[in-house]
Amino acid sequence: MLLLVVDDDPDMLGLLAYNLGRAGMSVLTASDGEKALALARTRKPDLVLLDLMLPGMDGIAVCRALRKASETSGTPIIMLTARADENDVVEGLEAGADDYVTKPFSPREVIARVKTVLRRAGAAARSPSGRLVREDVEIDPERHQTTVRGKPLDLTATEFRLLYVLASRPGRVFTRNQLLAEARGPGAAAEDRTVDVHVASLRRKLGARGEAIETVRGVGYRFREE
Amino acid sequence: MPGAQKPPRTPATLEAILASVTEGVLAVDPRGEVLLANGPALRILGVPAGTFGEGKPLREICPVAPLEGLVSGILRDGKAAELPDPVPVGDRFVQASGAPFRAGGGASGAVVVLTDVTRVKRLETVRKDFVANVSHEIRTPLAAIRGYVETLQDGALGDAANAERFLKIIEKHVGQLTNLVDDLLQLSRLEATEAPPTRERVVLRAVIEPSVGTFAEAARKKGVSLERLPGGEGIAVQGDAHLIERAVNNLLDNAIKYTPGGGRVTVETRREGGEARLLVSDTGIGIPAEDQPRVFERFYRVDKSRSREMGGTGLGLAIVKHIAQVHGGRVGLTSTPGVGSVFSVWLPALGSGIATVSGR
Repeated sequence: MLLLVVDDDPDMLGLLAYNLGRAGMSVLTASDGEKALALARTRKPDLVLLDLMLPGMDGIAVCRALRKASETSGTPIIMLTARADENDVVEGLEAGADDYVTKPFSPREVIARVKTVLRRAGAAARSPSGRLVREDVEIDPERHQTTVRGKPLDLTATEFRLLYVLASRPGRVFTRNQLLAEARGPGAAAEDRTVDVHVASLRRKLGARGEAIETVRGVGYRFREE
Repeated sequence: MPGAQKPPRTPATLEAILASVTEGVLAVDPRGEVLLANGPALRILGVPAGTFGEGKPLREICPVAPLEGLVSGILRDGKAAELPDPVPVGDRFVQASGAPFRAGGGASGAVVVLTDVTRVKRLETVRKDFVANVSHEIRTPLAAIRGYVETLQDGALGDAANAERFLKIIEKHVGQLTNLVDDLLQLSRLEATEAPPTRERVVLRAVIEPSVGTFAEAARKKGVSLERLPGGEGIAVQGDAHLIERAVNNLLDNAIKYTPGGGRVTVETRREGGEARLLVSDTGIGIPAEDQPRVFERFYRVDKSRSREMGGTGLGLAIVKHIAQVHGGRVGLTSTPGVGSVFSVWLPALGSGIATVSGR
Protein backbone atom coordinates (compact mmCIF):
# COMPACT_ATOMS: atom_id res chain seq x y z
CA MET A 1 0.00 0.00 0.00
CA LEU A 2 1.31 3.43 -0.94
CA LEU A 3 0.07 6.42 1.09
CA LEU A 4 0.50 10.12 0.46
CA VAL A 5 0.60 12.21 3.66
CA VAL A 6 0.13 15.98 3.31
CA ASP A 7 0.83 18.34 6.23
CA ASP A 8 2.80 21.56 6.55
CA ASP A 9 4.16 20.61 9.98
CA PRO A 10 7.31 18.47 9.58
CA ASP A 11 6.78 16.89 13.02
CA MET A 12 3.30 15.72 11.98
CA LEU A 13 4.66 14.33 8.72
CA GLY A 14 7.40 12.51 10.63
CA LEU A 15 4.91 11.13 13.14
CA LEU A 16 2.49 9.81 10.53
CA ALA A 17 5.22 8.48 8.24
CA TYR A 18 6.88 6.59 11.11
CA ASN A 19 3.67 5.00 12.36
CA LEU A 20 2.26 4.13 8.94
CA GLY A 21 5.64 2.73 7.99
CA ARG A 22 5.62 0.48 11.06
CA ALA A 23 2.13 -0.67 10.06
CA GLY A 24 3.67 -1.92 6.83
CA MET A 25 2.70 0.86 4.45
CA SER A 26 4.91 2.88 2.14
CA VAL A 27 4.64 6.60 2.67
CA LEU A 28 5.17 9.64 0.46
CA THR A 29 5.07 13.05 2.11
CA ALA A 30 4.24 16.54 0.84
CA SER A 31 4.32 19.80 2.78
CA ASP A 32 1.97 21.80 0.56
CA GLY A 33 -0.96 21.41 -1.82
CA GLU A 34 0.89 21.85 -5.11
CA LYS A 35 3.49 19.20 -4.21
CA ALA A 36 0.70 16.90 -3.05
CA LEU A 37 -1.16 17.16 -6.35
CA ALA A 38 2.00 16.57 -8.36
CA LEU A 39 2.88 13.47 -6.31
CA ALA A 40 -0.67 12.13 -6.44
CA ARG A 41 -0.67 12.42 -10.24
CA THR A 42 2.71 10.78 -10.82
CA ARG A 43 2.81 8.16 -8.04
CA LYS A 44 -0.93 7.29 -7.81
CA PRO A 45 -1.10 6.51 -4.06
CA ASP A 46 -3.74 4.13 -2.71
CA LEU A 47 -4.89 6.73 -0.18
CA VAL A 48 -4.25 10.37 0.69
CA LEU A 49 -4.07 11.66 4.28
CA LEU A 50 -4.66 15.37 3.89
CA ASP A 51 -4.33 18.18 6.44
CA LEU A 52 -6.91 20.91 5.84
CA MET A 53 -4.79 23.84 7.01
CA LEU A 54 -2.11 24.20 4.39
CA PRO A 55 -0.23 27.33 3.35
CA GLY A 56 -1.21 28.58 -0.11
CA MET A 57 -3.63 26.11 -1.67
CA ASP A 58 -5.69 24.78 1.26
CA GLY A 59 -6.78 21.22 1.93
CA ILE A 60 -10.32 21.71 0.61
CA ALA A 61 -8.96 22.97 -2.72
CA VAL A 62 -6.53 20.01 -2.87
CA CYS A 63 -9.41 17.65 -2.17
CA ARG A 64 -11.49 19.11 -5.01
CA ALA A 65 -8.55 19.03 -7.40
CA LEU A 66 -7.87 15.37 -6.58
CA ARG A 67 -11.51 14.50 -7.22
CA LYS A 68 -11.53 16.39 -10.52
CA ALA A 69 -8.40 14.80 -12.02
CA SER A 70 -9.20 11.50 -13.73
CA GLU A 71 -6.10 9.73 -12.31
CA THR A 72 -7.07 10.48 -8.71
CA SER A 73 -10.86 10.84 -8.81
CA GLY A 74 -11.33 7.49 -7.07
CA THR A 75 -8.44 7.73 -4.59
CA PRO A 76 -9.71 7.60 -1.00
CA ILE A 77 -8.98 10.76 1.02
CA ILE A 78 -8.91 11.10 4.80
CA MET A 79 -8.79 14.66 6.08
CA LEU A 80 -6.80 15.71 9.11
CA THR A 81 -7.99 18.83 10.81
CA ALA A 82 -6.86 20.73 13.89
CA ARG A 83 -10.20 22.46 13.98
CA ALA A 84 -12.91 20.26 15.41
CA ASP A 85 -15.30 22.66 13.75
CA GLU A 86 -18.21 20.76 12.25
CA ASN A 87 -18.43 23.19 9.32
CA ASP A 88 -14.93 22.24 8.21
CA VAL A 89 -15.78 18.58 8.39
CA VAL A 90 -18.94 19.10 6.35
CA GLU A 91 -17.06 21.21 3.81
CA GLY A 92 -14.35 18.56 3.53
CA LEU A 93 -16.79 15.69 3.05
CA GLU A 94 -18.64 17.69 0.41
CA ALA A 95 -15.37 18.42 -1.35
CA GLY A 96 -15.02 14.67 -1.74
CA ALA A 97 -13.15 13.38 1.33
CA ASP A 98 -14.08 9.88 2.51
CA ASP A 99 -13.42 10.31 6.22
CA TYR A 100 -11.85 12.66 8.73
CA VAL A 101 -9.68 12.60 11.85
CA THR A 102 -9.42 15.58 14.19
CA LYS A 103 -6.20 16.68 15.85
CA PRO A 104 -4.94 15.85 18.40
CA PHE A 105 -5.31 12.29 17.15
CA SER A 106 -3.96 8.96 18.25
CA PRO A 107 -1.65 7.36 15.64
CA ARG A 108 -3.36 4.03 16.36
CA GLU A 109 -6.70 5.60 15.47
CA VAL A 110 -5.32 7.02 12.22
CA ILE A 111 -3.97 3.63 11.19
CA ALA A 112 -7.30 1.98 12.00
CA ARG A 113 -9.14 4.57 9.90
CA VAL A 114 -6.71 4.19 7.03
CA LYS A 115 -7.25 0.42 7.02
CA THR A 116 -11.03 0.80 7.17
CA VAL A 117 -11.16 3.29 4.31
CA LEU A 118 -8.82 1.13 2.19
CA ARG A 119 -10.95 -1.96 2.86
CA ARG A 120 -14.11 -0.06 2.02
CA ALA A 121 -12.59 1.24 -1.21
CA GLY A 122 -11.54 -2.30 -2.17
CA ALA A 123 -14.98 -3.70 -1.42
CA ALA A 124 -16.72 -0.97 -3.40
CA ALA A 125 -14.51 -1.70 -6.40
CA ARG A 126 -15.27 -5.43 -6.27
CA SER A 127 -19.02 -5.52 -5.76
CA PRO A 128 -21.14 -4.95 -8.89
CA SER A 129 -23.67 -2.16 -8.47
CA GLY A 130 -26.59 -4.24 -7.50
CA ARG A 131 -28.13 -5.99 -4.56
CA LEU A 132 -26.79 -4.98 -1.14
CA VAL A 133 -26.86 -7.42 1.75
CA ARG A 134 -26.13 -5.90 5.15
CA GLU A 135 -26.63 -8.57 7.77
CA ASP A 136 -30.37 -9.22 7.68
CA VAL A 137 -31.19 -6.18 5.53
CA GLU A 138 -31.36 -6.79 1.79
CA ILE A 139 -31.73 -3.98 -0.71
CA ASP A 140 -32.50 -4.82 -4.31
CA PRO A 141 -32.40 -1.78 -6.59
CA GLU A 142 -33.73 -3.66 -9.63
CA ARG A 143 -36.93 -4.72 -7.92
CA HIS A 144 -36.86 -1.56 -5.78
CA GLN A 145 -37.42 -3.74 -2.76
CA THR A 146 -36.01 -3.78 0.76
CA THR A 147 -36.46 -6.70 3.12
CA VAL A 148 -35.54 -7.15 6.77
CA ARG A 149 -35.25 -10.83 7.71
CA GLY A 150 -37.08 -11.63 4.48
CA LYS A 151 -40.00 -9.33 5.29
CA PRO A 152 -40.52 -6.63 2.66
CA LEU A 153 -40.69 -3.00 3.78
CA ASP A 154 -42.91 -0.32 2.28
CA LEU A 155 -40.42 2.49 1.55
CA THR A 156 -41.01 5.67 -0.43
CA ALA A 157 -38.74 6.30 -3.42
CA THR A 158 -36.72 8.87 -1.45
CA GLU A 159 -36.35 6.62 1.58
CA PHE A 160 -35.23 3.76 -0.65
CA ARG A 161 -32.55 5.84 -2.32
CA LEU A 162 -31.31 7.27 0.98
CA LEU A 163 -30.98 3.78 2.41
CA TYR A 164 -29.24 2.51 -0.72
CA VAL A 165 -26.70 5.35 -0.69
CA LEU A 166 -25.94 4.96 3.02
CA ALA A 167 -25.79 1.15 2.95
CA SER A 168 -23.61 1.09 -0.17
CA ARG A 169 -20.69 2.57 1.82
CA PRO A 170 -21.03 1.41 5.44
CA GLY A 171 -19.00 3.54 7.85
CA ARG A 172 -18.78 6.47 5.50
CA VAL A 173 -20.28 9.73 6.76
CA PHE A 174 -22.58 11.53 4.33
CA THR A 175 -23.57 15.17 4.90
CA ARG A 176 -27.21 16.16 4.65
CA ASN A 177 -26.54 18.00 1.38
CA GLN A 178 -24.86 14.94 -0.11
CA LEU A 179 -27.76 12.72 0.90
CA LEU A 180 -30.28 15.17 -0.50
CA ALA A 181 -28.41 15.36 -3.79
CA GLU A 182 -28.16 11.56 -3.94
CA ALA A 183 -31.79 11.03 -3.07
CA ARG A 184 -33.29 13.69 -5.28
CA GLY A 185 -30.66 14.34 -7.90
CA PRO A 186 -28.20 17.22 -7.96
CA GLY A 187 -29.48 20.76 -7.51
CA ALA A 188 -32.24 19.71 -5.12
CA ALA A 189 -33.29 22.55 -2.86
CA ALA A 190 -31.03 22.23 0.17
CA GLU A 191 -33.28 22.05 3.17
CA ASP A 192 -31.36 20.41 5.97
CA ARG A 193 -34.37 19.16 7.83
CA THR A 194 -35.89 17.39 4.81
CA VAL A 195 -33.25 14.70 5.12
CA ASP A 196 -33.80 14.41 8.87
CA VAL A 197 -37.50 13.80 8.29
CA HIS A 198 -36.85 11.08 5.69
CA VAL A 199 -34.22 9.42 7.86
CA ALA A 200 -36.54 9.42 10.89
CA SER A 201 -39.24 7.75 8.83
CA LEU A 202 -36.76 5.27 7.34
CA ARG A 203 -35.52 4.29 10.80
CA ARG A 204 -39.06 3.73 11.98
CA LYS A 205 -39.79 1.44 9.04
CA LEU A 206 -36.55 -0.50 9.58
CA GLY A 207 -37.68 -1.24 13.12
CA ALA A 208 -34.93 -2.77 15.27
CA ARG A 209 -32.47 -2.40 12.37
CA GLY A 210 -33.15 1.35 12.29
CA GLU A 211 -30.24 1.91 14.63
CA ALA A 212 -27.91 0.88 11.81
CA ILE A 213 -28.36 4.42 10.50
CA GLU A 214 -26.26 6.49 12.87
CA THR A 215 -26.44 10.24 13.37
CA VAL A 216 -23.04 11.97 13.25
CA ARG A 217 -23.76 15.08 15.27
CA GLY A 218 -23.44 18.32 13.34
CA VAL A 219 -22.30 16.49 10.19
CA GLY A 220 -24.81 13.98 8.82
CA TYR A 221 -25.48 10.25 8.81
CA ARG A 222 -23.74 6.94 8.21
CA PHE A 223 -24.67 3.28 7.93
CA ARG A 224 -23.02 1.37 10.74
CA GLU A 225 -20.17 -0.91 9.78
CA GLU A 226 -20.72 -4.58 10.42
CA MET B 1 -32.82 74.65 45.23
CA PRO B 2 -35.00 77.55 46.30
CA GLY B 3 -36.12 79.68 43.40
CA ALA B 4 -35.50 77.00 40.76
CA GLN B 5 -38.78 76.35 39.05
CA LYS B 6 -40.05 72.77 38.80
CA PRO B 7 -40.71 71.99 35.11
CA PRO B 8 -44.38 71.25 34.45
CA ARG B 9 -45.37 67.64 33.57
CA THR B 10 -46.61 68.52 30.12
CA PRO B 11 -46.45 66.23 27.05
CA ALA B 12 -43.63 68.45 25.81
CA THR B 13 -41.60 67.78 28.96
CA LEU B 14 -42.19 64.03 28.69
CA GLU B 15 -41.15 64.09 25.06
CA ALA B 16 -37.98 65.99 25.97
CA ILE B 17 -37.22 63.37 28.64
CA LEU B 18 -37.77 60.51 26.19
CA ALA B 19 -35.61 62.20 23.58
CA SER B 20 -32.63 62.26 25.93
CA VAL B 21 -32.83 58.57 26.86
CA THR B 22 -30.13 56.55 25.07
CA GLU B 23 -32.42 53.55 24.54
CA GLY B 24 -34.97 53.58 21.79
CA VAL B 25 -38.54 53.88 23.09
CA LEU B 26 -41.46 52.94 20.89
CA ALA B 27 -45.12 52.96 21.84
CA VAL B 28 -47.95 51.47 19.77
CA ASP B 29 -51.67 51.62 20.27
CA PRO B 30 -53.94 48.57 20.49
CA ARG B 31 -54.26 48.46 16.68
CA GLY B 32 -50.49 48.28 16.29
CA GLU B 33 -50.12 51.84 15.05
CA VAL B 34 -47.18 53.85 16.29
CA LEU B 35 -48.09 56.42 18.95
CA LEU B 36 -44.60 57.58 19.68
CA ALA B 37 -41.00 56.82 18.77
CA ASN B 38 -38.09 58.73 20.28
CA GLY B 39 -34.98 59.75 18.29
CA PRO B 40 -32.84 56.77 19.34
CA ALA B 41 -35.64 54.36 18.35
CA LEU B 42 -35.71 55.81 14.83
CA ARG B 43 -31.92 55.73 14.65
CA ILE B 44 -31.71 52.13 15.86
CA LEU B 45 -34.40 51.02 13.42
CA GLY B 46 -32.71 52.96 10.62
CA VAL B 47 -35.79 55.08 9.86
CA PRO B 48 -34.61 58.17 7.93
CA ALA B 49 -35.41 61.44 9.69
CA GLY B 50 -38.57 63.05 8.39
CA THR B 51 -40.14 59.84 7.07
CA PHE B 52 -41.68 58.88 10.39
CA GLY B 53 -45.31 59.75 10.90
CA GLU B 54 -47.30 58.95 14.01
CA GLY B 55 -50.27 56.72 13.40
CA LYS B 56 -48.51 54.58 10.78
CA PRO B 57 -48.59 50.83 11.33
CA LEU B 58 -45.40 49.56 13.00
CA ARG B 59 -44.72 47.32 9.98
CA GLU B 60 -44.28 50.37 7.78
CA ILE B 61 -41.49 51.95 9.76
CA CYS B 62 -39.97 48.70 10.92
CA PRO B 63 -40.39 45.61 8.74
CA VAL B 64 -38.57 43.32 11.19
CA ALA B 65 -40.58 40.16 11.81
CA PRO B 66 -39.31 39.34 15.35
CA LEU B 67 -40.08 42.90 16.53
CA GLU B 68 -43.56 42.79 15.04
CA GLY B 69 -44.04 39.42 16.69
CA LEU B 70 -42.94 40.81 20.05
CA VAL B 71 -45.36 43.75 19.80
CA SER B 72 -48.34 41.70 18.66
CA GLY B 73 -47.63 39.18 21.44
CA ILE B 74 -47.68 41.92 24.08
CA LEU B 75 -50.90 43.38 22.62
CA ARG B 76 -52.53 39.95 22.50
CA ASP B 77 -51.46 38.60 25.93
CA GLY B 78 -51.26 41.86 27.85
CA LYS B 79 -48.00 40.64 29.39
CA ALA B 80 -44.39 41.89 29.38
CA ALA B 81 -42.10 40.06 26.97
CA GLU B 82 -38.62 40.27 25.47
CA LEU B 83 -36.77 38.85 22.49
CA PRO B 84 -34.66 35.84 23.47
CA ASP B 85 -31.76 36.99 21.26
CA PRO B 86 -30.70 40.23 19.61
CA VAL B 87 -32.12 40.55 16.09
CA PRO B 88 -30.40 42.03 13.03
CA VAL B 89 -31.92 45.30 11.84
CA GLY B 90 -30.05 46.57 8.80
CA ASP B 91 -26.38 46.44 9.80
CA ARG B 92 -27.05 46.63 13.55
CA PHE B 93 -28.10 44.19 16.24
CA VAL B 94 -31.00 45.17 18.45
CA GLN B 95 -32.21 43.77 21.74
CA ALA B 96 -35.87 44.51 22.53
CA SER B 97 -38.18 44.15 25.50
CA GLY B 98 -41.63 45.51 26.05
CA ALA B 99 -44.66 45.72 28.28
CA PRO B 100 -48.34 46.58 27.88
CA PHE B 101 -49.68 49.94 29.03
CA ARG B 102 -53.21 51.12 29.47
CA ALA B 103 -54.05 54.62 28.29
CA GLY B 104 -57.43 55.81 29.49
CA GLY B 105 -59.86 52.97 30.05
CA GLY B 106 -59.61 51.17 26.68
CA ALA B 107 -57.58 48.24 25.41
CA SER B 108 -53.88 48.27 26.21
CA GLY B 109 -51.08 49.34 23.90
CA ALA B 110 -47.45 48.30 24.07
CA VAL B 111 -44.27 50.14 24.89
CA VAL B 112 -41.04 48.64 23.63
CA VAL B 113 -37.47 49.53 24.64
CA LEU B 114 -34.81 48.98 21.99
CA THR B 115 -31.12 48.67 22.83
CA ASP B 116 -28.42 48.81 20.19
CA VAL B 117 -26.10 45.88 21.01
CA THR B 118 -24.08 46.01 17.78
CA ARG B 119 -20.86 46.78 19.63
CA VAL B 120 -21.39 43.96 22.11
CA LYS B 121 -22.07 41.57 19.22
CA ARG B 122 -18.92 42.69 17.47
CA LEU B 123 -16.84 42.15 20.61
CA GLU B 124 -18.40 38.74 20.95
CA THR B 125 -17.24 37.88 17.42
CA VAL B 126 -13.72 39.06 18.22
CA ARG B 127 -13.77 36.95 21.38
CA LYS B 128 -15.03 33.87 19.51
CA ASP B 129 -12.33 34.25 16.86
CA PHE B 130 -9.75 34.60 19.59
CA VAL B 131 -10.92 31.47 21.38
CA ALA B 132 -10.90 29.56 18.08
CA ASN B 133 -7.35 30.77 17.42
CA VAL B 134 -6.13 29.86 20.89
CA SER B 135 -7.62 26.40 20.71
CA HIS B 136 -5.96 25.84 17.35
CA GLU B 137 -2.62 27.06 18.70
CA ILE B 138 -2.95 24.64 21.63
CA ARG B 139 -4.07 21.69 19.55
CA THR B 140 -1.11 21.84 17.22
CA PRO B 141 1.64 21.18 19.80
CA LEU B 142 -0.74 18.92 21.72
CA ALA B 143 -1.26 16.78 18.61
CA ALA B 144 2.50 16.32 18.29
CA ILE B 145 2.98 15.55 22.00
CA ARG B 146 0.14 13.05 22.12
CA GLY B 147 1.18 11.38 18.88
CA TYR B 148 4.85 10.99 19.78
CA VAL B 149 4.12 9.81 23.34
CA GLU B 150 1.82 7.11 21.98
CA THR B 151 4.39 6.18 19.37
CA LEU B 152 7.02 5.73 22.09
CA GLN B 153 4.60 3.67 24.19
CA ASP B 154 3.76 1.48 21.22
CA GLY B 155 7.31 0.29 20.79
CA ALA B 156 9.42 3.20 19.57
CA LEU B 157 11.07 3.35 23.03
CA GLY B 158 13.06 0.30 22.00
CA ASP B 159 14.05 1.97 18.74
CA ALA B 160 17.03 3.84 20.17
CA ALA B 161 17.87 5.78 17.04
CA ASN B 162 14.41 7.36 16.92
CA ALA B 163 13.43 7.44 20.60
CA GLU B 164 15.80 10.27 21.46
CA ARG B 165 14.71 12.29 18.44
CA PHE B 166 11.05 11.82 19.37
CA LEU B 167 11.72 13.00 22.95
CA LYS B 168 13.39 16.14 21.56
CA ILE B 169 10.33 16.81 19.42
CA ILE B 170 8.06 16.38 22.47
CA GLU B 171 10.29 18.73 24.46
CA LYS B 172 10.12 21.33 21.71
CA HIS B 173 6.32 21.25 21.64
CA VAL B 174 6.08 21.42 25.44
CA GLY B 175 8.25 24.55 25.20
CA GLN B 176 5.90 25.90 22.55
CA LEU B 177 2.88 25.40 24.81
CA THR B 178 4.72 27.04 27.72
CA ASN B 179 5.57 30.08 25.58
CA LEU B 180 1.98 30.29 24.42
CA VAL B 181 0.60 30.26 27.98
CA ASP B 182 3.17 32.89 29.06
CA ASP B 183 2.33 35.17 26.15
CA LEU B 184 -1.41 34.78 26.64
CA LEU B 185 -1.10 35.73 30.31
CA GLN B 186 1.10 38.68 29.44
CA LEU B 187 -1.36 39.86 26.84
CA SER B 188 -4.39 39.54 29.10
CA ARG B 189 -2.60 41.47 31.87
CA LEU B 190 -1.75 44.22 29.38
CA GLU B 191 -5.30 44.36 28.09
CA ALA B 192 -6.68 44.70 31.61
CA THR B 193 -4.72 47.91 32.33
CA GLU B 194 -4.53 51.30 30.77
CA ALA B 195 -1.36 52.36 32.52
CA PRO B 196 1.94 50.56 33.09
CA PRO B 197 2.11 48.67 36.41
CA THR B 198 5.00 50.83 37.60
CA ARG B 199 5.86 54.34 36.55
CA GLU B 200 9.51 55.06 36.97
CA ARG B 201 12.03 56.95 34.94
CA VAL B 202 13.41 54.49 32.40
CA VAL B 203 16.53 55.36 30.45
CA LEU B 204 16.04 53.44 27.20
CA ARG B 205 19.71 52.65 26.84
CA ALA B 206 19.70 50.95 30.25
CA VAL B 207 16.93 48.64 28.99
CA ILE B 208 18.51 47.93 25.62
CA GLU B 209 21.91 46.90 27.00
CA PRO B 210 20.70 43.78 28.85
CA SER B 211 18.38 42.91 25.99
CA VAL B 212 21.22 42.97 23.48
CA GLY B 213 23.23 40.86 25.95
CA THR B 214 20.44 38.28 26.13
CA PHE B 215 20.39 37.76 22.37
CA ALA B 216 24.15 38.00 21.73
CA GLU B 217 24.56 34.23 21.84
CA ALA B 218 21.59 33.48 19.55
CA ALA B 219 22.86 36.05 17.04
CA ARG B 220 26.41 34.71 17.13
CA LYS B 221 25.19 31.15 16.57
CA LYS B 222 23.30 32.26 13.51
CA GLY B 223 26.12 34.41 12.19
CA VAL B 224 24.07 37.59 12.51
CA SER B 225 25.80 40.72 13.80
CA LEU B 226 23.82 42.39 16.60
CA GLU B 227 24.72 45.85 17.83
CA ARG B 228 23.45 48.92 19.57
CA LEU B 229 24.07 52.04 17.53
CA PRO B 230 25.53 55.02 19.37
CA GLY B 231 23.52 58.15 20.06
CA GLY B 232 20.36 58.93 22.03
CA GLU B 233 22.24 58.38 25.30
CA GLY B 234 20.10 60.38 27.70
CA ILE B 235 16.65 59.54 26.29
CA ALA B 236 14.24 58.47 29.01
CA VAL B 237 10.57 57.67 29.29
CA GLN B 238 8.21 57.12 32.19
CA GLY B 239 6.96 53.60 32.61
CA ASP B 240 7.72 50.01 33.44
CA ALA B 241 11.30 48.96 32.69
CA HIS B 242 10.43 45.24 32.59
CA LEU B 243 7.67 45.75 30.05
CA ILE B 244 9.81 47.96 27.84
CA GLU B 245 12.59 45.40 28.01
CA ARG B 246 10.12 42.71 27.01
CA ALA B 247 9.10 44.77 23.98
CA VAL B 248 12.75 45.15 22.97
CA ASN B 249 13.29 41.41 23.53
CA ASN B 250 10.35 40.47 21.31
CA LEU B 251 11.56 42.77 18.53
CA LEU B 252 15.14 41.49 18.74
CA ASP B 253 13.96 37.88 18.85
CA ASN B 254 11.96 38.37 15.65
CA ALA B 255 14.72 40.33 13.92
CA ILE B 256 17.30 37.60 14.56
CA LYS B 257 14.90 34.78 13.63
CA TYR B 258 14.07 36.31 10.28
CA THR B 259 17.57 37.48 9.35
CA PRO B 260 19.74 34.96 7.50
CA GLY B 261 23.37 34.35 8.52
CA GLY B 262 25.68 37.16 7.47
CA GLY B 263 22.96 39.73 8.11
CA ARG B 264 22.84 42.56 10.58
CA VAL B 265 20.45 43.59 13.36
CA THR B 266 20.75 47.00 15.04
CA VAL B 267 18.95 48.79 17.87
CA GLU B 268 18.96 52.54 18.30
CA THR B 269 17.12 55.29 20.11
CA ARG B 270 16.27 58.72 18.80
CA ARG B 271 14.45 61.71 20.10
CA GLU B 272 11.69 62.98 17.80
CA GLY B 273 9.99 66.08 19.21
CA GLY B 274 8.30 65.06 22.43
CA GLU B 275 8.73 61.37 21.68
CA ALA B 276 11.39 58.79 22.25
CA ARG B 277 11.73 56.41 19.31
CA LEU B 278 13.25 52.98 19.61
CA LEU B 279 14.20 51.30 16.33
CA VAL B 280 15.07 47.66 15.68
CA SER B 281 16.36 47.24 12.12
CA ASP B 282 17.35 44.07 10.31
CA THR B 283 18.59 42.96 6.92
CA GLY B 284 16.20 39.99 7.01
CA ILE B 285 13.63 38.50 4.69
CA GLY B 286 11.24 41.45 5.07
CA ILE B 287 7.44 41.48 5.13
CA PRO B 288 5.23 41.67 2.02
CA ALA B 289 3.26 44.93 1.75
CA GLU B 290 -0.12 43.19 2.06
CA ASP B 291 0.85 41.65 5.41
CA GLN B 292 2.38 44.78 6.93
CA PRO B 293 -0.82 46.32 8.31
CA ARG B 294 -1.71 43.07 10.07
CA VAL B 295 1.51 41.83 11.68
CA PHE B 296 0.67 43.45 15.03
CA GLU B 297 -2.62 41.51 15.24
CA ARG B 298 -2.85 38.58 17.62
CA PHE B 299 -2.00 35.29 15.90
CA TYR B 300 -1.40 36.91 12.53
CA ARG B 301 1.52 35.20 10.86
CA VAL B 302 3.09 35.95 7.51
CA ASP B 303 4.32 32.36 7.18
CA LYS B 304 2.53 30.03 9.57
CA SER B 305 4.68 26.96 9.33
CA ARG B 306 7.89 28.95 9.42
CA SER B 307 6.78 30.92 12.48
CA ARG B 308 5.82 27.78 14.36
CA GLU B 309 8.98 25.98 13.35
CA MET B 310 10.90 28.83 14.98
CA GLY B 311 8.91 28.54 18.19
CA GLY B 312 6.86 31.69 17.66
CA THR B 313 3.49 32.00 19.40
CA GLY B 314 2.02 34.53 16.98
CA LEU B 315 1.62 36.94 19.89
CA GLY B 316 5.04 38.63 20.11
CA LEU B 317 4.24 41.73 18.09
CA ALA B 318 0.75 42.06 19.61
CA ILE B 319 2.46 42.21 23.00
CA VAL B 320 4.87 44.89 21.72
CA LYS B 321 1.92 46.93 20.49
CA HIS B 322 0.09 46.63 23.80
CA ILE B 323 3.20 47.56 25.77
CA ALA B 324 3.55 50.70 23.64
CA GLN B 325 -0.14 51.50 24.13
CA VAL B 326 -0.19 51.19 27.92
CA HIS B 327 2.68 53.69 27.90
CA GLY B 328 0.69 56.08 25.75
CA GLY B 329 2.83 55.22 22.73
CA ARG B 330 2.49 53.46 19.38
CA VAL B 331 4.27 51.10 17.02
CA GLY B 332 5.22 51.25 13.35
CA LEU B 333 6.87 49.23 10.62
CA THR B 334 8.63 49.81 7.35
CA SER B 335 9.76 46.79 5.42
CA THR B 336 10.91 45.69 1.99
CA PRO B 337 10.85 41.99 1.14
CA GLY B 338 14.38 40.72 0.60
CA VAL B 339 15.94 43.87 2.02
CA GLY B 340 14.86 44.06 5.63
CA SER B 341 12.52 45.58 8.18
CA VAL B 342 12.53 48.45 10.68
CA PHE B 343 10.21 48.12 13.66
CA SER B 344 9.70 51.30 15.70
CA VAL B 345 8.21 52.00 19.10
CA TRP B 346 7.39 55.60 19.97
CA LEU B 347 6.88 56.47 23.62
CA PRO B 348 6.24 59.87 25.20
CA ALA B 349 9.69 61.13 26.23
CA LEU B 350 10.52 62.59 29.60
CA GLY B 351 12.11 66.07 29.59
CA SER B 352 15.69 66.18 28.25
CA GLY B 353 18.36 64.45 30.30
CA ILE B 354 19.78 67.73 31.57
CA ALA B 355 16.42 69.00 32.78
CA THR B 356 15.75 65.76 34.62
CA VAL B 357 19.16 65.80 36.27
CA SER B 358 18.78 69.44 37.39
CA GLY B 359 15.29 68.66 38.63
CA ARG B 360 16.64 66.17 41.15
